[in-house]
Amino acid sequence: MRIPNFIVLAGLLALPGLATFANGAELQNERSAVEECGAHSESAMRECLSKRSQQSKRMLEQTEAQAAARLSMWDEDSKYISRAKEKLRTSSKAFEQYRDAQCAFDSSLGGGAIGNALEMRRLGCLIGLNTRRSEQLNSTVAALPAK
Amino acid sequence: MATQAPIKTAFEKWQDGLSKAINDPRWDAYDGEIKTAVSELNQHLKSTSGFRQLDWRLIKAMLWTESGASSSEWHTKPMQIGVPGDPGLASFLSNREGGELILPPKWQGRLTIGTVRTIPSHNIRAGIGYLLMRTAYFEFQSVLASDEKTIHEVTIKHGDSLATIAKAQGCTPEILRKLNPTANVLRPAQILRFQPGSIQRVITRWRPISTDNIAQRYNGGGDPYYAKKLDYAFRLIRS
Repeated sequence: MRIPNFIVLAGLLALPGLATFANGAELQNERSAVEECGAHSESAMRECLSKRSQQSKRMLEQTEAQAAARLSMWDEDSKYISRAKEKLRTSSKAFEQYRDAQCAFDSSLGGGAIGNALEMRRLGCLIGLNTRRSEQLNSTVAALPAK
Repeated sequence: MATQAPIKTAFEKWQDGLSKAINDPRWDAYDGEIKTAVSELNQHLKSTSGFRQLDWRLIKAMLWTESGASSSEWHTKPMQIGVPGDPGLASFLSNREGGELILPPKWQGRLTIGTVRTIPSHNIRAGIGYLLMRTAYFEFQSVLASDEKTIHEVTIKHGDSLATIAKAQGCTPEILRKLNPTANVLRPAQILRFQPGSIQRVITRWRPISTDNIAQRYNGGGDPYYAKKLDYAFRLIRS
């Protein structure tokens, strides 16, 4: 039995964190993450940024799932929907490659600092790029007319 | 009318946490280690050009900023050097980037990747050593052998150059030029003076050891508030 698309989307929006994420309330940029984690010593700050980085990754995964669900709901011929979904997957893979390379570059700008500090730079970068990617995906599919 | 307390920034929260440390003896646990390590390094490096004595309290402020007694890392890596994958510790102990000039001889070979990651006193010494390595300017220069002060002579043969003579006699072309300032053109049977020596890495000068420079050279911008934190901790400790 095929499950209607609007039920799939409603289910996705009901996932913990996703509904609030969808309206941007949970979005956190790199600067605010570093600012908030800065209430700790350097060792605890790294742990804090590591947790925030994992959160941002999960948020992005949820946003990607939500974007795919919105495409399923799109009032368009199925072949164009399939093509858009394929492009979304390609785009997500390319983003991950870019993000990892860019954050390695950002980390390298710590120069010869100790490893803990280099890792904090990398984690801050990951949070920032995951957040921006989530925002971009949300806004890209938000205006698609539903069936 | 009740007034609402202003919301504290993250930096203010960090300050609050540190203010409680000043009367907590756990935060002074490494004072002896820090003093000894800094004193040995000051003694070892005092003859290098432009070196200014390191204040042990600044290192204590770094320990408070890097970990602090409320952190589990305080008991293993209080200076946070040597976390998994840290290229800094490996470069410090490699003896190829200047670490060998920073560490006093009695500590050469005693610090290893394993001990720095697990023994707080070793982590402190590696952290200070790495900071100093990152603060020094290094150059490769001709250095006379310390155990051989005699000036020798060598007779030029056909086809000799300063480079071949230096190689054959265990010195450098720079030493030969310095001891023979008029020998611009070499002729067979000419006598040249030389002293044994080699090209070595040396410390030529130092960056100021300020909180801004520590933030830049040790933390590398990982925490934008690092210098501010260090300033605050240093002020607390001095008071």
